[in-house]
Amino acid sequence: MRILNIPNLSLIFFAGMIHLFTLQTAAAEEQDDNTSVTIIEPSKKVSQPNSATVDAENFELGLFYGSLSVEDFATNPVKGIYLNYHITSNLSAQVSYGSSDVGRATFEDVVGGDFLSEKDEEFSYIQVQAGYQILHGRSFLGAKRRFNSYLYVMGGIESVQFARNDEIGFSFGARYKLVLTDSLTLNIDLQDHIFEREFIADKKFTNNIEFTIGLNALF
Amino acid sequence: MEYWFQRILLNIKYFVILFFCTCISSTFAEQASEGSTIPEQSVDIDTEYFDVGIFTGLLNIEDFNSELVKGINMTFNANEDFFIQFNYLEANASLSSFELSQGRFFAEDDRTFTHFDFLLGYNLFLGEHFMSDSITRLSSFYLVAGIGDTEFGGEESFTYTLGLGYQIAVQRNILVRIDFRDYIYKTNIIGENNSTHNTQLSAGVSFLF
Amino acid sequence: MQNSKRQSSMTGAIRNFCMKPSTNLCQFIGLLIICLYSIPINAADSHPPPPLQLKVIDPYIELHTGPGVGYPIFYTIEQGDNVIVLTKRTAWYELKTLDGQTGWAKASQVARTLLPTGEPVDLPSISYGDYLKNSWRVGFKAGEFTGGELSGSDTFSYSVGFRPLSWAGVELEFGNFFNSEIKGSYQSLNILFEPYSEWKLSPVIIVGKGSMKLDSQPELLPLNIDKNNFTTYGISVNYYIGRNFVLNSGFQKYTLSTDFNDERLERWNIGFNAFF
Repeated sequence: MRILNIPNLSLIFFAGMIHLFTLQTAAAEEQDDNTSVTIIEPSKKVSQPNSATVDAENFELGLFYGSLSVEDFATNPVKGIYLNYHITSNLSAQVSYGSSDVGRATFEDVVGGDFLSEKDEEFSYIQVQAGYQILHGRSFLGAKRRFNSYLYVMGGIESVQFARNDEIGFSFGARYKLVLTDSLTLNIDLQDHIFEREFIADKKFTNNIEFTIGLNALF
Repeated sequence: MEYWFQRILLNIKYFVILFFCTCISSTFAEQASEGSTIPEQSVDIDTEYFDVGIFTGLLNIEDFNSELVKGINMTFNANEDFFIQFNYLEANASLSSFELSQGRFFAEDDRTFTHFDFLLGYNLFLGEHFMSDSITRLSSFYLVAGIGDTEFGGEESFTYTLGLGYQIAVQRNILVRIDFRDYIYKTNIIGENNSTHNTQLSAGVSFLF
Repeated sequence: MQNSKRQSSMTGAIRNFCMKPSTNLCQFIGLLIICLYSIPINAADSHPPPPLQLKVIDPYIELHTGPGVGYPIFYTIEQGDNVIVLTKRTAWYELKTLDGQTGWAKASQVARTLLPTGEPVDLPSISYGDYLKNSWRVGFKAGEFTGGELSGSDTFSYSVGFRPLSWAGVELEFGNFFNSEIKGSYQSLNILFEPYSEWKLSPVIIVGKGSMKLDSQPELLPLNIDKNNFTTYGISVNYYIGRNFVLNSGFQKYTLSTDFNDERLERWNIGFNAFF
């Protein structure tokens, strides 16, 4: 016994009504004409209950907000925009821009000087990422709501500007996507931005962990 | 003589294992004690409440480097919505850019970032996902919050932890988790009474029994 | 300066022993493995018990695809059918019907089934009545000192307790506290009076004695070990949240006898306890 979604019950109801109507028509016809009996087969079209899914839409445009931890500095809010294109059902490509106002490091406060100018204190990136879907299924919120959900592995290349560095770095991470309605999805992303940075005469690969939540429109 | 108290406290984590072991034995004890009203049939059902696991990942220590972190955790699933988790993790802080140019903040011994915490977790979304074959796997997306203790730079601080994560049962008894955590505590290593946020991105494997 | 160097090297030595990363983690993992090995001995017999087979007496039992109310129901077991109980997780049982369908059913539905002998099944559960019979308790508390010299320090503590009578018990508490300048630890032996422990929300009176040690932090400063005895009394409230867990919240006053005078401290806390 499968439990049907409430919105689709109305479709079932209509299908049922059509069924009854055609049966009645058939019965009426049978009564009228004793010699020839025309049996009208009702069209058995019971639509499957479906949660909102990404089917015909290929593009997603969205905004995200979250936290970014910059190595040697603090954790600050990050915001940005992204555009995602579903190439196949498993593969997607994304272009995004994010920026975070990092501010002074604590030791800059202690020493009393500024190692970076105000402009250099902004961590911003332009990123091209590929996402590969490793899991698809459904998620349930409480007893009533269910959403189609997917888990992606993401990886990409980016151009990062921070602390007078303008470098090419790369990123990897994971995304949990929930399809909220037919035109809205929610992404929860975790990623690590890796780029080589030179700061106070120390050049090293830095890891910067980012967590964001984004809302996208499907079209 | 006075140091034996300090030793007890440094080993407080052993008491935590004791706590979890008693939880485990209590759930087994409840099975053993039941069935006393029906002498001929001992009701012995396999229970799956606990999981123990290891995890590794990256930790961004505020004002310091990002380091590889390794840890272990134990989770007790109280009901379908809530669970309690204990985590213990360690990371070794190497010299940060600032320290390389200006000098060390603290000695070698104090460079290990050690943290343990008790978390209450809430399964926000329970789910079932399909891997490439047609077998359904149970999964959940959860939020966690809790308290703990962080030791770093010669200081021991009361820590708040917030986080979220996703777990999937790749086999009936094996869980794979991806987690994000933010450890928040006040420190005096650099500056006065700074509230630091140390974020961690980690992946782990747990065994459910 | 000399003294502090010697002291810091002594603590350094202790630190090295206890806190060396690989040693500490290995010790921890070792103890964990020992604990885990000891558990199956507790539970499993030499041969596995026969699978529990039950007969459904409710009009139906719904099988979900997973142990949660959100998971869809894919099968209904009818009255009179036999099922085999496979596993229990939280408040859900995994059942298998005789024609091979496997799914999860709520414990409340499964409790209303019969054994093949026709008697109702007595499934393991921790209901409120069972919780009261359990006498050992472990828990942890977190809180803050709000009065006295340590005002503003955060504190958390672990405790082990034994309750031989329904209205009285004893506990051993180990705590730590921290603020920006001072850190410290305390241990106390407390006696608890809970006259109405059968209430879901019940008051507790605590009296105890212990000792407290203060250190300065960070350790760059000279170590200043002060160990003082205290007596404590307070009141808290226990709230039974289900299975064998209790939340509690309370307020305690400490009277610390130092060399010069009596230091009065106040602490409020919330805590979580498990009974077994």
